[in-house]
Amino acid sequence: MTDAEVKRILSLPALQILNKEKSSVITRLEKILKIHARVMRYEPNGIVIREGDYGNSAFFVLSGEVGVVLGLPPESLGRRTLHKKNFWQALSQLWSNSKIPEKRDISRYGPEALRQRDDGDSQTTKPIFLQDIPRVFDSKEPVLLKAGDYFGELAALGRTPRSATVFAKTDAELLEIRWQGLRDLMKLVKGWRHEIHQTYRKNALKTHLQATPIFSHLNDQDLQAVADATRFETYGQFDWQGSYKDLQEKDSLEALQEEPIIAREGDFPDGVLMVRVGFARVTFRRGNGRKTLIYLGAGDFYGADETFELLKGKKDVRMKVSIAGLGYVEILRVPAEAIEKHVLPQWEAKNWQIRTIDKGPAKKKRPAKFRRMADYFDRSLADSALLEWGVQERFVNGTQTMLINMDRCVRCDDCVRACAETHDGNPRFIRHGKTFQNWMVANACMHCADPVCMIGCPTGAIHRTVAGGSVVINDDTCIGCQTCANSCPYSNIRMASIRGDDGQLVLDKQNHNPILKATKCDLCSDQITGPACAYACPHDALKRVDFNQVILD
Amino acid sequence: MDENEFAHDKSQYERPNFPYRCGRGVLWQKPCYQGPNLDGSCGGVSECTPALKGSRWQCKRSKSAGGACEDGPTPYGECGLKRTPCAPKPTLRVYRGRLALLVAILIVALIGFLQAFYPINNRFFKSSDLNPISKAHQKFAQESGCTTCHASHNKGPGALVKALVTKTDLSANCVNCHTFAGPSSKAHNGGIKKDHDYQDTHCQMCHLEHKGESFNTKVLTGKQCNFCHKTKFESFSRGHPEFREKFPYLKRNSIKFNHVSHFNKHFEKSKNKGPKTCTGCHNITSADRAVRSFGFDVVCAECHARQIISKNLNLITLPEMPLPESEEDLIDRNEVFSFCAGPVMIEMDANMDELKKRMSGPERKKMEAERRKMEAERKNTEMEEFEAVSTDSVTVISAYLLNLKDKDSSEEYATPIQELILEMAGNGTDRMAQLIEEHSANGMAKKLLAGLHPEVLKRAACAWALNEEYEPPIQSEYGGWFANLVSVGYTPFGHADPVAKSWIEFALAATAGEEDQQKRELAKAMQKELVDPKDGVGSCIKCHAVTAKKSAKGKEQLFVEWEITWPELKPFVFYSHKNHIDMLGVDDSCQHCHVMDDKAKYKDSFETEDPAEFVSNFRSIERNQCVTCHSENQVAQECQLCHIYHLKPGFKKTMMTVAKTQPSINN
Amino acid sequence: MTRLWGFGIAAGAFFFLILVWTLKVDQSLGPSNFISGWAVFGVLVALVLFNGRKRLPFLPLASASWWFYFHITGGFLVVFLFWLHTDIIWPNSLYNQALVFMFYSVSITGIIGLFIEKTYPKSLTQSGVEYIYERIPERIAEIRAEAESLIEECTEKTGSDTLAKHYLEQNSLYWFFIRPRFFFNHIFRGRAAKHWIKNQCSLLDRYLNDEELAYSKKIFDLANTKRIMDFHYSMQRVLKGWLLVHVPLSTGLMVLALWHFVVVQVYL
Repeated sequence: MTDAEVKRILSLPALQILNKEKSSVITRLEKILKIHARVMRYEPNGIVIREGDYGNSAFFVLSGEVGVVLGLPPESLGRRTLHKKNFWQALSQLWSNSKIPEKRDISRYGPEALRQRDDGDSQTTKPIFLQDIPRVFDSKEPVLLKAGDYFGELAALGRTPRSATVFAKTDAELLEIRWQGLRDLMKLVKGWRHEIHQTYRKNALKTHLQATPIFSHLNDQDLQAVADATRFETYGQFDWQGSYKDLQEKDSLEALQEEPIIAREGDFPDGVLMVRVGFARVTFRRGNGRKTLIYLGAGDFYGADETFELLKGKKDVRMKVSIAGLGYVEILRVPAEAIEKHVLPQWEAKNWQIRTIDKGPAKKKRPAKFRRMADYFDRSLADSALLEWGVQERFVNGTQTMLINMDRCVRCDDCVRACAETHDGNPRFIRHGKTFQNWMVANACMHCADPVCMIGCPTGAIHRTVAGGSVVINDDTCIGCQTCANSCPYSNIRMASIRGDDGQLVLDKQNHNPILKATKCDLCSDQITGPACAYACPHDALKRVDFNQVILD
Repeated sequence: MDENEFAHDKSQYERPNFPYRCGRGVLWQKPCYQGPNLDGSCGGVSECTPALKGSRWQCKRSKSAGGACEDGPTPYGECGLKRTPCAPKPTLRVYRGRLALLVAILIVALIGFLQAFYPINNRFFKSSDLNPISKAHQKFAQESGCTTCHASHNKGPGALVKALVTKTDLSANCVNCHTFAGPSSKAHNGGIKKDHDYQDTHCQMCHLEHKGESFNTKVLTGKQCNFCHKTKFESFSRGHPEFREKFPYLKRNSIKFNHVSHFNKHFEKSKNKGPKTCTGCHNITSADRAVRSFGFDVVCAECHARQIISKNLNLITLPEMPLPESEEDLIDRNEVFSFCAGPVMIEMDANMDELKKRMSGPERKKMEAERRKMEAERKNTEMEEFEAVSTDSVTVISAYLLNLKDKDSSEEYATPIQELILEMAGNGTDRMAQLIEEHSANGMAKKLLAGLHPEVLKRAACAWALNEEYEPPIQSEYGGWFANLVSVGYTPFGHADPVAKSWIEFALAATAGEEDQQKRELAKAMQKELVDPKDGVGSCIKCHAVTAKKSAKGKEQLFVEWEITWPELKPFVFYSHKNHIDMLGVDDSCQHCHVMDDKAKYKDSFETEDPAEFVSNFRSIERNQCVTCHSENQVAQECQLCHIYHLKPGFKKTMMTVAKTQPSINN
Repeated sequence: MTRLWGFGIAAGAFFFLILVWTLKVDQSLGPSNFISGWAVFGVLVALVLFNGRKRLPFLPLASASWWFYFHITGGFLVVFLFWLHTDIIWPNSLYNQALVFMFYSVSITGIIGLFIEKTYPKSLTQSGVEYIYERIPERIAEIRAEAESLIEECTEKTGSDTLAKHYLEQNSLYWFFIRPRFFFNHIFRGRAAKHWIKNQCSLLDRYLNDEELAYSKKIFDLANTKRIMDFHYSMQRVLKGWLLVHVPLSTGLMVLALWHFVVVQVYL
C-alpha cells in the first residue's frame, strides 16, 4: 500500500479506535499496514472468504456491508462435492479414460478457469462471485457486519479453517491484513489482543480442552476455570514452508538448534503443554546430541506425568524431555496450579493409575492407544531412525504419506498406472522422492495435518473434503495460479498444461499461455477402492500412512 | 545432478501408461520435454507455439520445460528451437502385449491350419498322447477312421462347437459292434441280482484305448471289481472269500457213479477191465471248464451192458387162478377158439428189424434159419392137452392198469385178468394200449408197447386161456418183447433202450398228481418195481439219478436224468482244466484237487429226489488249494483269471462286413 | 507372512481335496483326469486373472498384494496339480509336447521372476540412490554432456588433449558414456564395471599432470555415478523384462490349454 492509501484508511471512520493510540504507535501502525495490508473492493455478492478455507489474513470492514453465512453448499463456494463412484461408474473408467494426457472438458470451465496470467500476476485475482444468490438468501439468513467490524482473525491466527463464508452484501471496501501484520497489531493494540483471545477462549478453547483425554471428564465449571487459566504461546514462523527448503540444506544438528524451545529438559515442570496447531518435537539428551522420542501433533499434550508427580509431592521433579517447535506451533499451557485445583481431585477421585514414568524396560507390546512416552525411552537408535528422519523432513505433517518400502518395491509402476487409471489416464504423483534406508516418501500429496498449500488459494479450489478431510483441488475452479504448488514444501502439487479433445494444448485466448491446472493426489476420494496406488501394489511395498502411526507401531 | 529435479516446476509426471517413449531417449540422448504424440509420432519438433504480443513474437515455453528460451522465436513466429523429429519407440509393455498377441495368433493359426489341411493323424494335432489304437480295433476303424468312435472328428468347426455343448458318450459307439446278453451300461450287463442299484457303467471305465498297438484293452485290475463288490480284498490269496461249502460238487450228478467204490472195489475185482487213472474215463484232450468222460459204450459197457439186458420188464403174467366155482366162471373155450384159430402169423416186428440191422450178416442168417426151423416143428406138432397151473401173482403193471384193489387176492383179480386175457386173445394189444392210454398222456401206449407184436400177446393169451402150453415163437437173445408160459415181458436191448426208458418214465409219472389213494398205492408199487436200482427194468436207475422237478404245470414230478448233465455254468466264472492239466501233467494232476473221500455217503444222495442234497465222494475244494499256486509272486491271481465281467459277450454280424479281412477274435 | 501361510495352507488343502477327489473318482472308475484337468485349467485361469486385475485397479477386487500372493501360491499349486494330471513327464505328440513345454516354461520363468522380484529390490536399495527407469536415458545424456564439457574445458584450460583423445579411443570412456554398459555383469551383481572404471583411471594417470588429474577425477566420479545408474538400468530392465517372456508364454499356454480343453470335450 502506498503511504497515501494508509493515511486514507486510517482516517476512515471504521478505524477510528486506532487513532486513540499514541502517535508512536500510529507510526508503527502505519508501517505494519503498509507492509502487511491491502485494500480489497468487493461488488455485491463477491466472496471474501469461504467456509473451510485456510487463510492467513483477517479483514476489517472499511465501508459497506458484508454478510456472514454458515453451511453453504460447497458447489456455490467453487468446490465440488466428491461422490463415490458406484461399481459401474468405476468400471466405466476402463474404457472412458482418456488416452490424451491431461485432457479436460473445457466446456465445464467458467471464464476465469480458462485464463492463464503470466507469473507474478496471480495475486491480483478478481474475487469470485457467490453463485446462485437467491437460493443462498432464501435458505440462509446472513449476519451482517458493518464498517468497523473485523473477521477472519481466528482462522488466520489459529491456522484453522474458516468457520463461515463471508460475502459482500453491498459494494464493500475491506482491509485485508496478513497474519504477521495482525500479530504485530495485536502486540500494539492491547484491546484487540484481549478481545481476540477472549473470543477464542469463549468459542473454541473449552471444546478443545474437552477433546483432550486429561480434561475430558471435567465438569463445565472446572473446565471454564482451566480454560481461563490457560496461557497461549506461539513458536516459529507462520510461513514455515518458505524456510523449509533452506532448512533442508542445513545439517540436522544445526536445524535442531534452530527449533524454538517450548520446554527444556531438566527444567521445572510448570504444567501441561498442549499442541493446538503445528508440531512439536520431543527430544532427550543422548550423548552429545538429542534423540527424538516422539513428536506431538495438534491435540497431543505433554507434562501430565511430571505435573502429577510434582503435585503428589515428589521432590526434585524435572522435565525429562525437551520440547521444541517444528515450524509454526501454537501451544496451550495449562499451569500446574490450575491442574492442582481443578483437575487433580478428579484424577484421584477416578482412581487414575499413578502417572509416573515407568522405569522398567520398554513395553513395546502395549497397544498404541495406551502407550506412553515412557515406552519410547529405551528404543534403539535404529528403531527411532525413521522417526528422526520423518521429523527432520517434516513428513510428520502428512496424514496419508506415501511410504514405499524399497526393499519390496520391484519398480513395476503398477501404482502409477493404477493412479492414472483412476484419474482419467493421468498419474497424480511421481514414484520418486526422498529416501532413507529402505524407505522412500514419494512425491505424492501427504494430505497434511497443516495444509499450507491451502493458504492463499484465490478461488477455494483447493480444499479439504467434508468427509475424510483429504485435501483436494476442484479442477473446474482452479485458475492455475500456482499458489498452492509454490506453497507445498514437498513439491507434491504439479501444474499440468491441459489439452482439449483434439489433444492440443489449451491456450489462454489473449496471451497464448498454456492453461495450467494444479494437480495432485486426491486420495482417490471418488473411488470405491480407496487409494488406488496402495491397493494396486502387489508387493505390499507402498502404503499410505500417518507417519505417527508408522513410527509408534 | 539437480537436487530439486522433482520440484513441481521442473518435472512432469512420469506416464508409464503412455504407449510410446521418446526416440531420443531410446538412443540415450536427452528426451524432449513434450515427448511423443499419442499416435507415436514425434511431439518434440518445436519447443513451443510462440504467441504474438503486440508486434513481437513471444516464446511460450513452459517453466517446467525451461521457461522462455534465450533466442526466442524467429521473426516469422516459429519456434527458434526446431528439431528434426525423432522416431519414438513403443514401451516395453507395448512390446510385451504385442508379443503375447503374436504368440496367441501364431498358435491359433497353426491349430487352424493343421485342422484345415492335415486334420487326421498329423503329429501336431494328436491331442491326447495318442498312441495307435489296439490292433484288434484297428481293423474295424480302417474304413471310417476316427469317426468310428469320435463322431465329431473332422466335421469342421461347427461340429466342434456342437460337441462342446453336447454330451458325448463314447460307450454308445462300442455297442455298434459288441453285443451282450444285457444292456451294456449296466453292471455285468444286468446279469446280476436286480436288487442292486448300481450306477450306470461306461466301457471306458475298464477298457482303455490309444495305448499302443499291442495294448490289451481287456486287461483289468482288481480296482474295477472292487468298485462295486462290497467284499474288498487285496488279492485272491489275501482276502478272497472262501469257496462255497461243497464246492465244486454242489449238485448231484446225473449219473450215480461212485468213484470210491469203483476204484477201491470194482476195478480191483475186475482186474484189467477197470481204468488205472482218471483219464481212463475222462477225456482230457477236450478238457476245458469240464473234463467230460467218454460215453457209456466206452466207459461203462464193459461191465454194465450185461446188467441192462438181464433185467426184464414183466408186463403181464398169468396169475394163479382160483378154482372155478361154477361152469360159468370158466372161460368159454369156444369163444377163445374163435379168436385163436387160424395160423399163427408172427412176423418180424419192428424190433426184429432193428435187431436184424444190428446183427452181422452170418449171424442174422443163422438166426433166420433157426426161426424157420422152429416154425416148421410147431406146425407138425399136434395140439396136446396141457395142464397149465400158474403160481405167479399179478404183475404190478397189470395191477396198476386194471386198478386191482388187492393184487394178491385171487378173488379180486381173477375176473379182470380173465377178461384182459380174453381181450388180449381177441384183439391183441388193443386193450392193453387202451388201458395205458387211460393212465397216461396221449401216445404213451405206442412208446410203451413199441415192438410188441399183437400176435405175440394174442398167442400168449390164447395159450393161457386155452390152458395150452404156450410155445413162444422166438426167444430173442438180444432182447425185446417175449412171451412164455405164464408171462409177457420185455428184455432191454441194451443201453438207452427206448422202451425201457419209456416204462420208467411211465412209472414215475404215474404217481404224480394221482389223488385216488388206491390208485396211488398201485402206481407206487409199480414205480417201486420198475425204478428199482437193482431189479428195475434194465437197472437204469442203478446209474441214472431220479430227480424231482417241477413240471410245466407246476406239479412236482420225478424225472430220470438220462443225459449226463455237467455243473450249471455260472456266467461270470471261468475255470480251465486244460491249463491246469497242461501245467501239472496228466498223470497225477487230477488228484491235486479232486481227492476222494472214502467215508462220504455218496450213495445216500441218490436216495432222495432233491439233487441239492448231495454228498460227493470227493472232498470239496477249498481256496487254500488254489492259493498254494495262485498267490503273490507265484501264478497269476487277478480277478479276471477266474471271473468274467460281461454277460455272454459277442459281436454283431454287421461288423464282419466292415472288416475286409476278418480279424482273429480272441474271445 | 501370516497371509503367505494362509495362502499356502489353502493351496495345500485345495491340492489335497483334488487329490482325494481324483483318487475317489479313480476308484469309482470315473475319468479322474477330468478332475485334475479342470483343477489345472481353473487355477490357470485364476492365475491369468491377476493380469486382468491389474487392468482394473478401480474395482474392489481385492488388493493387488492379495492377488500376488494368490498368484505365487497358485503358481506352485498348479505345478503339483499338473503333475497329478499328467502321468508322464514328456509326452509323445508334438502338440502335447508344446503344451507341456509351455507349461514348464511359464512355471520356470515365473519362479525366476519371483526370485528376481524378491532379491533385486534390495540390491537396488543398497546402491544408495534411486532412479526412475524412464529417466535413465535423460540422466545418462546429462552425465555424458557433463563429462564431455569437462573434457572440452580440460582441453581448453590445460592445452593438453590427452584426456580428450583417451575419451574418444575405442572401448574407452565414450564407449562407456554413450549408453548403459555391462548389462549382464550388472544383473548378476558383478563388479566388472567398477573394475573397468578403475582400470581406465589408472591407465590414464601417468600421462596427466595435476591439473588434468583434477578433471580426470571429476570424470571418473561421473563414471561411477553412471555405473550405479547402469546398475539401476540393468536391474530394473530385468525386473520389467522377465515379464516379456512370462506373459507371452502364458498367453500361448492358455491358448494351447483352451484347445486341449476343446479337444478333450469333443473326443472324450
